[in-house]
Amino acid sequence: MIQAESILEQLPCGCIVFNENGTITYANHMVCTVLGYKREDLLGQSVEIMLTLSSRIFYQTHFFPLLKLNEQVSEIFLTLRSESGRPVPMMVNAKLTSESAQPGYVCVFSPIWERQKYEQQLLEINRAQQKALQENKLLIQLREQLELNQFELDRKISILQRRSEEYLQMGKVFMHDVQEPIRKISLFFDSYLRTSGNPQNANEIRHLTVISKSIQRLKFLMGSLLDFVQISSDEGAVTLIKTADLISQANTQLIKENKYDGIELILGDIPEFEGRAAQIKRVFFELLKNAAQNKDPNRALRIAVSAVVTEENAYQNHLSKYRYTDHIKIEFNDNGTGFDSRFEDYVFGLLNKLNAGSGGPGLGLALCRQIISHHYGTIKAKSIIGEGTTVIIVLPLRQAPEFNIYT
Amino acid sequence: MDIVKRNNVKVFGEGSQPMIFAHGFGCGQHMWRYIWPAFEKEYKIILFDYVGSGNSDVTAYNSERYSSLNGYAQDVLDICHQLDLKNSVFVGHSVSGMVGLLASIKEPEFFESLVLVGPSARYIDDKQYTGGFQQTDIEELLLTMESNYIGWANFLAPAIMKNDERPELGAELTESFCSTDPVIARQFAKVTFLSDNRKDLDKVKHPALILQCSQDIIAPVQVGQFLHRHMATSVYRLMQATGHCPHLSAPEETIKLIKEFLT
Repeated sequence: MIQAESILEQLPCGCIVFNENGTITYANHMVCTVLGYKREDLLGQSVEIMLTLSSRIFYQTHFFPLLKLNEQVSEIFLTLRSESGRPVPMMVNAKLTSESAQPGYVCVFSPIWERQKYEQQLLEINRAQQKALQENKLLIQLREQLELNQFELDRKISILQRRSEEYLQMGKVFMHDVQEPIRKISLFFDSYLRTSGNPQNANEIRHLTVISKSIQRLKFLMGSLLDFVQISSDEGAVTLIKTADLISQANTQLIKENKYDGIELILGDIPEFEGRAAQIKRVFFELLKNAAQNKDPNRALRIAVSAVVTEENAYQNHLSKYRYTDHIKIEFNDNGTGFDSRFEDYVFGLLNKLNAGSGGPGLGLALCRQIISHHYGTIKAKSIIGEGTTVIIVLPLRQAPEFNIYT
Repeated sequence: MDIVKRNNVKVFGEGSQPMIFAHGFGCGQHMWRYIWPAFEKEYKIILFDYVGSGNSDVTAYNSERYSSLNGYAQDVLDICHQLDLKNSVFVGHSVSGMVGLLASIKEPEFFESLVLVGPSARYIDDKQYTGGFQQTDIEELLLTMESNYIGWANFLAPAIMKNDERPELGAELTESFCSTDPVIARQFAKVTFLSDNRKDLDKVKHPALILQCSQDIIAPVQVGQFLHRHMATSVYRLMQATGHCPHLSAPEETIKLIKEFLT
């Protein structure tokens, strides 16, 4: 046994034993010589004392988990740190031992000065080659992708241009071609009522009332649709939005125009973001109005608005493109009647409405969605019947692309 | 896209509340094998590998997406969506602490609480802030990793583990162990060690447990205390366990502290 221990001391490689906690319980002569430590400097210390900072990370994230789960590791490259701070490249093997009462790990080190130089050269060549290959592959891929994207984009622009023209044309149709006949019908109907005297027949009265109501409804719908068509054609300059101010303004407008009163508005700390102020204000106005129209009769209406900045992918449609940029997530949370969560998407559809008693045409949320998409954002609603509704808007903080595409 | 296959998702356990275990940089879901057995009676256990780690589908790796911790957070959110998880307990080791934090800010309703094991908001020192590392340390780490690619097969070797009590998981445990692709591992290292999430800490709304190890070189005590100071909802526990992997070196203490926090 004494001879075995003496051999261990004279081994031409470093040998240490450390326990579960990483405390060194044995170090042979070679370790001490190579690293310039006295034996008593190492015993009782953490094994990490022998490692450079970066090797400690590697030890914690790879070496130790592997050793713990696999019970051995071999041919691991680590840079050890001598007492004077000099880095020493080592090849390391380690293995669980059950020789002593406590489980420990036996670990042997061989300095690899010469091999290290050779490996470094190999790595450098390999790295350069990999880089060239990758860049080449990437460039070829990008060229193909660019060609394809340009083609797709060109097609989409043609369609969009056509659509946009049609859309504007539709606006004009509403403005003149449809509104004018309605105006005439309304005018001549009124004059007919005045000149034809009072109808006596009950049936006749009913019919005339229906016609009159229908004319009113048509006028109202026309106005609303016109509003919807015009809202995003009004470009307006992009400015920094003072969110809290705009919401307060929208609230004042709501109280003035619709006589809604007693909304308790709780505004959290809301960061500024870029947008077209008039349009964004319209969104806030519609959201507040919606909340007011769907108020729970049994409790005072409370609307809490909060916001947080998160990084989201600026690409919304391209499936394999990622560019995380700062976005603002604004939440409008009310304690109104709420609605069935099945309709969370439906409520944003044009002329879709759930609350027949609200009197509106079902335009508000569709309008909001149009404005938010116009700002490259998304809007969604989450609702629980009896508890209330939360509308969540996510918008980029900056409207112009803020990233450098070459980074 | 089959998220379950992509992220090698495993779902089991007898409880209804989900408990998601997210591994850190270096390895895969195997890291949690000493911890989840203590919770499987009361929780629905969710294990997974990030794309590019463990036994995930490496072909789904997108270097643009995973050049940001937000891409990794999206993995977590994708899994929550796919499995329709609500009010989950998220347990994240190391960099997964910040990944879970980002996910909880983006989609709060998926989560109930966060358990952060050895988290750090930034690894590199900055003015008044002590992260524990200099830029040059991180560059040297990348070199160390590269040097080990020569013997990288070690990390791909089957991990032979005793698993008599859970035979159905036996097959999975003999598959590869660590980061499988050197290029991906390098990018994960860069994203991890160059990240800075200090600005996100005060956005956290969920209760969070910070498990801080003693003498953790990767996430030193000052870092854990910094996190605690900047997260109003956090509970700070300094562990007796040393090193960066208490879930491997001190599973009992880790389990005990998580249980205390959850009750």
